[in-house]
Amino acid sequence: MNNRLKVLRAERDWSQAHLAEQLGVSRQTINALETGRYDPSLPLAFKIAKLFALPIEAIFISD
Amino acid sequence: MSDPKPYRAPGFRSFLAVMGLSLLLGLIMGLGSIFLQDTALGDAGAALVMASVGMVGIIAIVLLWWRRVDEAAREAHKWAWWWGGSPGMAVGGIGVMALINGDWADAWLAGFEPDALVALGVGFVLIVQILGYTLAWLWWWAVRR
Repeated sequence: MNNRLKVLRAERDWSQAHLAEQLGVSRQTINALETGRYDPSLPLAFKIAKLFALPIEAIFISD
Repeated sequence: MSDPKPYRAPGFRSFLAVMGLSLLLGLIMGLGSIFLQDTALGDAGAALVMASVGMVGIIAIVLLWWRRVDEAAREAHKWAWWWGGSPGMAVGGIGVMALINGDWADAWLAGFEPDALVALGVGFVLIVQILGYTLAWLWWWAVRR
């Protein structure tokens, strides 16, 4: 699954560490998410969507 | 309502704390065994009691760690257990079978008491399992960097 996490983060000028802190995960997890090599759980996906005030399907794109 | 405390992934200090707690647990088990083996429990009873204490302690330490790590770290552990630990157990089992059925190690194994042979087999499987687990865990994170 692909996602727009890196773009959305860059638009807000947030660091990976800052985003990680906002979401309650580690920076390594943010990196794994951004590279598309780790798909988040549904609760984390909802948390990400809430943080960016976007629907989940606007952030995560199915292959 | 105040903001929740920012999340901080466990770092090297947390790792050292876990190792320290594990060492302390090992020390308690060792000293407890020495103390209890001279009681009515005997050697076997002391070993059983202290192994139970050790297991409860390890579960408590693992629970503490599990609550601290985030979902990706948990996924890495689960993945490593399945894809590293299980094959490791299989490979270790094959190694033990080779030791038992082959005659190439008979002279070496003849030097062990039966209980030491059991411990050797279990220990060997465990070491290979942990090795497989560690390699799988490293692989999981390496491809996600």
